[in-house]
Amino acid sequence: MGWRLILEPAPLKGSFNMAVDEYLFRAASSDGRTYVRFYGWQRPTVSLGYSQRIGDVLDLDFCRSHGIDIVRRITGGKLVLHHREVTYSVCSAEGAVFTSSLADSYRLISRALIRGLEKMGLEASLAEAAPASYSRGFMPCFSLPARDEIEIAGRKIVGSAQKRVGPRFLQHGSIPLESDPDLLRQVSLPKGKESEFCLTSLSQALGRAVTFEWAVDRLAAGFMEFFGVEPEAWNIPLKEMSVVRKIEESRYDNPGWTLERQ
Amino acid sequence: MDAGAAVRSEFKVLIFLVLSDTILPDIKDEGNMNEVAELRKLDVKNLPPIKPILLDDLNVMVQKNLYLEIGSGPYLFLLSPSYSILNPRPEDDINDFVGKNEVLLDYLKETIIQNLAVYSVLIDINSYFIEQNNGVVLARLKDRDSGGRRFEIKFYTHAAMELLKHYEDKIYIGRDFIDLFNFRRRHFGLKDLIVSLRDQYDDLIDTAQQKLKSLMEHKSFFQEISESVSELKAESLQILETIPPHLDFSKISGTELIDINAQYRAINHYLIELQDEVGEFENLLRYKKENDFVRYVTKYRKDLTNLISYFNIKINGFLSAKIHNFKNREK
Repeated sequence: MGWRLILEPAPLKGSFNMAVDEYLFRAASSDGRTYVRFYGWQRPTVSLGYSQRIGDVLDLDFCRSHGIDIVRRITGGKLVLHHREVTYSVCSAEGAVFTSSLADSYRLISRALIRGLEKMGLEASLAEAAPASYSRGFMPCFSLPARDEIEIAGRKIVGSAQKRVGPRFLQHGSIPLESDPDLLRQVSLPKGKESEFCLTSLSQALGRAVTFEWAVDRLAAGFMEFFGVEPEAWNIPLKEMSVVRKIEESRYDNPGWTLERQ
Repeated sequence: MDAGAAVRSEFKVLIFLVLSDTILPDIKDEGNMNEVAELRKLDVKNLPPIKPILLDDLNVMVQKNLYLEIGSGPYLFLLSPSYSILNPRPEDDINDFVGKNEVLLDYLKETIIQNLAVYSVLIDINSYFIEQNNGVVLARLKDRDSGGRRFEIKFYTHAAMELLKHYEDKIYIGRDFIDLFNFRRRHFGLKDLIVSLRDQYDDLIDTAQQKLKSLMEHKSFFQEISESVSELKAESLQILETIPPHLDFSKISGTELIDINAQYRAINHYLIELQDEVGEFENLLRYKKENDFVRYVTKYRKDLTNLISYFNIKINGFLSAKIHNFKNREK
């Protein structure tokens, strides 16, 4: 089936971004297409992994008093602070391309993103396994590169998470244009010496400022080149936007979903 | 079996003990066991109250005939359903512990049975052997470095009359993980069960080094199974991260439940693949008469079979039944 590429021209609200990703995740199972989307965030937003308990990982008071939005993803993984960054998402049910294993598809998408980073002149690689303490603990997503995540000179450049139901999956991830470890430290719990982050950003790795558009052009080109596809440029039809809004209202804009977790 | 029959059954065992000079040799474990010491730290008054549940006859029979095995130092003590110390010979320390902690032991047994009834299928799928043995089940506790809070328990069944004479003939039923302070399990308790499969496999490799005649000859099997266990663990834990830990059927939609059922099924499929590989290895070991080692592989496969049955009956089976109650996908 065909691939569709969605390039969001303007940064969007966190809850809307998550609703669009879920809409595409649902669409992938019904129409058999693969959707690749690149987007940004209107304001600093913390996203929590599906199973994370807010009191364990997030300084809620700090976020509220500093105007930082909070959303909860349907994917697993750890806390991510989305700020000046490019976010990608891939939704597909093409088992022949992405296999049936979470790890395999994760690795495949990582390699496609590395191709995009190469187009920026960066030499990135897949990380080896992180220490066990990282996977067990509350440390945020960008603390250390985990296995098959992308790093540049030992520092994590892309943090990703996936939800899979049979062959259908949603994977999304964050690629910082600029890093803000101080803000990440302030929003995260626990405070203390664990909050040392081994992350980098495109600007840091390239030694100069980069724009969202410049980075997205190269990431999208590298992605499609890796998979050998020519996608159709696409936007969600207006008549379908009510479905997206409904997802947003019932889930990502709903404090019951975001803040209350068993 | 009624309570009277259970007492009579135990009485026969005690008669055997009194009449026979051949009391079992002390059961010694190579490690230093600390279950008695950890249990001593608990005060029943501080444990959460047990909510009564209706047990079926088989579970009641097991409850009445449940033996406990708890370790202290180098000894593993076998306690009868009424807490007589059957093996090894009683010592002051274990006598003192049992004498002062019958209420705690009752609590422990009640918790074990409730966990078995709600969060496992071990009693159900071994019902034939258990009934043949008049409900006798041995529960061997292993503390999980938790101050007496969490235990791994291995279950065996054995003919009551033969228990002390041929203790080594006990039949392995399976294992479970209980938390005395938290009955309600996230994700049906799967995380403990799956992580345990990795740990057990590491132990199996250690055992192979001691028991297997030609370890290198089977290198490819060990490698293949090891990769499958790692994949099972990694994929399962990531899948569980995206499933609600507890299901509230009054709030969940049919579509969501269908997705959740599919996610649990995916984990089960990894288990089935692993069981297939382990079964193939087990057959080869039997063919090559690696009798000292093959029984450990059989036990491992038994744990896999148990977990697959748990999925089929209490997870996917249960969820499928719930799904069928929805009138359409969106409701």
